[in-house]
Amino acid sequence: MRWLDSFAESSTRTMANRTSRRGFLGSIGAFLIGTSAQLLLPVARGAHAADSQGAAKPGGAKPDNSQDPTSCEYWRHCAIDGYLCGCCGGSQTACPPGTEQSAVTWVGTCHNPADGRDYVVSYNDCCGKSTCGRCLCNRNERDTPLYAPFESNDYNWCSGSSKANIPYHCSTARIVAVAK
Amino acid sequence: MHGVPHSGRLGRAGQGASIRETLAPFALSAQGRRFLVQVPGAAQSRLSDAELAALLNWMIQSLSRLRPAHFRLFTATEVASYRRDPLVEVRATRERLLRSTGVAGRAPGNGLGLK
Amino acid sequence: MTMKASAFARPGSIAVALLLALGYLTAWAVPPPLPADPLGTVVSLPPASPHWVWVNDFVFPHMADGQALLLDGDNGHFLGMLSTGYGFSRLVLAKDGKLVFSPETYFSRGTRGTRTDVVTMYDPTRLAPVGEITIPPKRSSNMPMMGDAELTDDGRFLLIYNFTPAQSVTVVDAQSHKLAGEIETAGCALVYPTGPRSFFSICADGSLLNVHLDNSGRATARVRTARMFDVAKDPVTEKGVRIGDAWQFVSYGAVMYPVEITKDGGLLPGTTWPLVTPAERAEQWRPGGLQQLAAHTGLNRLYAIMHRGGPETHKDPGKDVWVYDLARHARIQQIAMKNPSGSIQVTRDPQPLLFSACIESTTLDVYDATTGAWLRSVQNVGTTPTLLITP
Repeated sequence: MRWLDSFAESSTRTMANRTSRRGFLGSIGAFLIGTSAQLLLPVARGAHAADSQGAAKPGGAKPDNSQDPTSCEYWRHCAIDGYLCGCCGGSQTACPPGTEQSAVTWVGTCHNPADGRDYVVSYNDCCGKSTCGRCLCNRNERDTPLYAPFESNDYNWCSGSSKANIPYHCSTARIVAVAK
Repeated sequence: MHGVPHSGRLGRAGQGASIRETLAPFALSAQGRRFLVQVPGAAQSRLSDAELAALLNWMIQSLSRLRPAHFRLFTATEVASYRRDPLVEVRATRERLLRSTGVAGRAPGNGLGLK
Repeated sequence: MTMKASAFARPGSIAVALLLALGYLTAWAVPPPLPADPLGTVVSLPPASPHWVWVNDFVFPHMADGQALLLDGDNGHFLGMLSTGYGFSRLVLAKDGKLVFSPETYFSRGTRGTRTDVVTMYDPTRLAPVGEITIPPKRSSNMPMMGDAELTDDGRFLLIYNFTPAQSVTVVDAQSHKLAGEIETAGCALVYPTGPRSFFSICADGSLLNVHLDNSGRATARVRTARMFDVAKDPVTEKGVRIGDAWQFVSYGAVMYPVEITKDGGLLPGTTWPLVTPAERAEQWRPGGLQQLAAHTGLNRLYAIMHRGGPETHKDPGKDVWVYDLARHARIQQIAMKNPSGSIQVTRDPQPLLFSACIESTTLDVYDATTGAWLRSVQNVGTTPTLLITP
C-alpha cells in the first residue's frame, strides 16, 4: 500500500506526538501507524514463560508482571509476537545497536492496569540481523488473520519494499496514542 | 526520528509520487476522491465513515503540499457511497489519476505487466 | 638352556598350554578384516509413498536456515531434507510427483545484503536442486500458511502470495518453468485454488477476490464477491482446507464457513455449521493452532485441533482433535492427542495416517486417521515445525 507506506513514514509519528485531541486523533494514529504488519511467530504464551523474567509458576500465586517491560506479561505486549528488544540490547522503544527500525508495523490495543486506559501500541520491528533469540513472546489480543494486515502479528515487516527489507531481529512496543 | 521524512522527493525508485503531492489534486476530482476512499488501506480500515472522512480532510489540510482554495470537505455520506464499492484495479486507477491530474512523478511499474 | 621335563607338568603350565591351544583353535574362527567402503555413495529415494510427510520448518531462531524434512509415517524413518533459505514457508509438490517446487528467499550475505527470491525446483528422488526460476523479491514473509503458495488444480501454474505491504500474486508457469507474471490483489491475501485456471484471495472486508487466468497465466477477470463473513464479529482464520468443490474455513468462534465453487467458477457462501454444541461454546471450546484443519476427501471427513480458551487463544495448540462427517456436519470422533498439537495433516489414501506436530516441539506424532490410535512418534524433527504436507 504505497499510499499508506509514504504517509506512515513521514507523518504519523509527528501527528501522534501532538495528540492533544486524544480520542479522535488517537484512533487516527492507530489507523495511520497500522499500515504495516510485523511477522511474528505465534507461540503460545505459556510455553515460553521461562523466557520472560518473573513468569508465573504453575500452581503458585501469579506475580503481577504487567509493569515489567522484560516480561511477556508486560501490559504493552498484549498483541506482540517475537523477541523483546529489551532483552536484545534495545528497549521497548529503541532498537539494539546495528539494527534498523521498520517504519511500518501492526498495532495492538492494550489495557494498562496502572492508569486504567487503553493504549494503541505499535510493534515496530528492528531488522538487519538474525533473530535475537531471547525473550520470545506471543500474545494475540484482538489479533486478526493475515487478510486484515493492520492488526495481524503474523507478518514479517522487516521484509518487502520498506527500508528494512532485511531479516527480523526483535520487536519493540511503542505507545502511539490513547485508544478511543 | 528514524528515517528521513519524504521531503518532496519522489520516494523510492519505482514508487512514484508521494502522497504529499497527490492528496490535494486527487481530492479535486470525483474519480480522485473516490480513489482516496477506495484504496484498501482506507476502505478496509477500522475507521467509521465519519472518521475516515475526518482523517482525509485533516490530511489534505495539514499534510498536503498544496492547499486548495476551494477544497470540498469529505462527508461521511460521501465516504460511505465510495466505500461500498471495493476497488480492484488500484494500480491502474492510480496511474490514470496521476496522468489526468498532471502530478509530477514516474508511474510505478515493475516491468512484469502487473495487472 | 634346558628345562626339566617336570616343569611342563605343573598345574599352572597345563593351564597356560590349554589356553594357548584354545587360542590357536579360535584363531581359525576370526572373520577376515572388513573391506574398505566405497566413497561417494548417496541414497536415492524410491517413488513417494502416500504415507510420507514433509515437515516444513522456517526455523524461527535462525530464519536464514529454512528447511523441509521428509519422513516415512509407516516406520518413522527420517528420509532426508531440503535446505530452503530465509523465511521459508512451504514446499509445493508437483501433481505428477516429478518435481518439488519451493519459493525461497536469499540475501547475498546470509542475513543482509541484496534480496533474491526464487522458486527452486528439486528432484524428489535425489532431494537436490535441478533448477530455479527468479521471481519478484516480494514474496510474503509471514507465519507459514498453506495459502502462501499453491498450484492451480491442473498443476499448470504456481501461485505465490506477495506482501510488501502491497498485495499481489506472482504466477509461475510450472510447465515451462518460467515466470508468467504478477497479478495485483490489493486488499486481499493468500491464494486458494478453485480450478485449473482460477483461485481466490481473502479480502479484509470479508469478501473474496475471485481471479481467473488465461493459458498464459494472466488474469482475465478479478471480481470481488459479496462479503462471506463478518470480520469484526467472528473472523475466519486463513487456515482453510479444500474438499471437492468447497473450501472450508473455521472462525475464531468455532463456526465453519464453507465457500462453494460453482460450475462456472463463481464463489458462493455455503451454509455455516458449528464445530461445538452450545454447552461446549459456553466452555470456550474453540479451534487453535497453525495448521488447524485437515480433510480427507474419500472419507469426507474434517479434522480440527480444539482446545478451551478465550478468543485471544485462537492460535494456541490443543490436545484434542475432533473429527466431523462432512455430509451430516456431525462430529463422529474425538481423539485425545499424546502431545499438544499445532499442525495436523491427513494422508490422501484410503487407509490414512494423521500426522501431528507443534511449533514448540520437535516431536512428530503419527496416528491412524480412522481409528485415532497413536502409532508412533519421531523425535528430533526440525526446530520450529510448521506446515505438514503429504504427497
